[in-house]
Amino acid sequence: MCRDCGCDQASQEHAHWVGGREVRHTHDRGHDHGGGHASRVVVEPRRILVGQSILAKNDAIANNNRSWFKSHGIQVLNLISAPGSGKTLLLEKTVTHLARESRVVILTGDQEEEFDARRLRAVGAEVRQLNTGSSCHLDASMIERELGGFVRPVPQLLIIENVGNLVCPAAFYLGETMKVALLSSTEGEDKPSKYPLLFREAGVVVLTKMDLAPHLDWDVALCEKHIRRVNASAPILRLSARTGEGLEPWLAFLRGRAA
Amino acid sequence: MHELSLVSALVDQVEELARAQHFDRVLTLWLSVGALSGAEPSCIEFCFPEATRSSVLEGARLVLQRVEVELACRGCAALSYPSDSSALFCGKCQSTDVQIRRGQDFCIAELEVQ
Repeated sequence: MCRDCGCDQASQEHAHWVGGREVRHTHDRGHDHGGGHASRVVVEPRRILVGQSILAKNDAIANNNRSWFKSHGIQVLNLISAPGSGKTLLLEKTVTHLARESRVVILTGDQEEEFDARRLRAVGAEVRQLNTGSSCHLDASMIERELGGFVRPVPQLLIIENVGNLVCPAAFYLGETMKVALLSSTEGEDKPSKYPLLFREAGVVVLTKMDLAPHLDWDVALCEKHIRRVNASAPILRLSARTGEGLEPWLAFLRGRAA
Repeated sequence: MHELSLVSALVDQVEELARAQHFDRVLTLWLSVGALSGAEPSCIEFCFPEATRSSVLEGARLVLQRVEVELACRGCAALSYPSDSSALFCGKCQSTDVQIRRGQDFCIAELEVQ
């Protein structure tokens, strides 16, 4: 076999294209293949400039999701927070208040179990549980699988409750309209500075468990200062899903998105 | 955990490149890791050998190139290069209304293949 072109005409005269010119040669005279043509093809190492984002594949699927949502008039919120900061309780209250006036559907992600879906179903939510197994976040393909099935092609508000985690979910774009970051008063004021990726990308930041704040050494002004260090403009909402205090601005925000 | 899924995505991507560009083995992989990418170099190095096993990347030399943050102020247009990647404000006028120009990406820069 010819090492330059891979052809098997090595003993006869044949052509290669070199720099746009046809170059004719025979291998027998041109150079020595030693040991005959059955010998292994030696491929020289070469360099390839790639410049491709590792998340390019996820982002491409997410962009398709986004187009699908857009063409069907679906607004999508991607709720992200640490585990236990109150995403599910907030959604229970949200569904209770909004179910009659807007069509809200929920995809809820956890590594294992269906507890969240059961809780949300109990208050009348249209919800589907996504289990990620060993993965610590939802990715765009998990959402893609639901389009046209559970997520019907009609105008609505889709809320994606991501896996409880402040780090990874922020890196995986799902095609959402907006990321919503939740931070509870029990988590410490400096979390936005320590986990800046999520708080930088959030379109709105919700401070939860505000009913506990008076009982804690937790300074809401300091917390908001940390949020502003990484995000100059996202509205910051303070609420307690348990008492209902501050829930109205959150519902108004959702009504605005669903409209 | 996070880095493991990033490296798995990386393996899929390089396998695709191998099919498209006809190579069987990667000798060296240069990765650009932005200071704001959320990917930790030591974690990538830790999970790389295991995550690349039985792929075209098995045994490849891994070179990580850190990309520092570059900010452009929307107010005064000054460029800043903060050393603390959580302090994202303009070094000249202190405004937090800044555009991140570099340092967010985690990408495959170059491959040496065979």
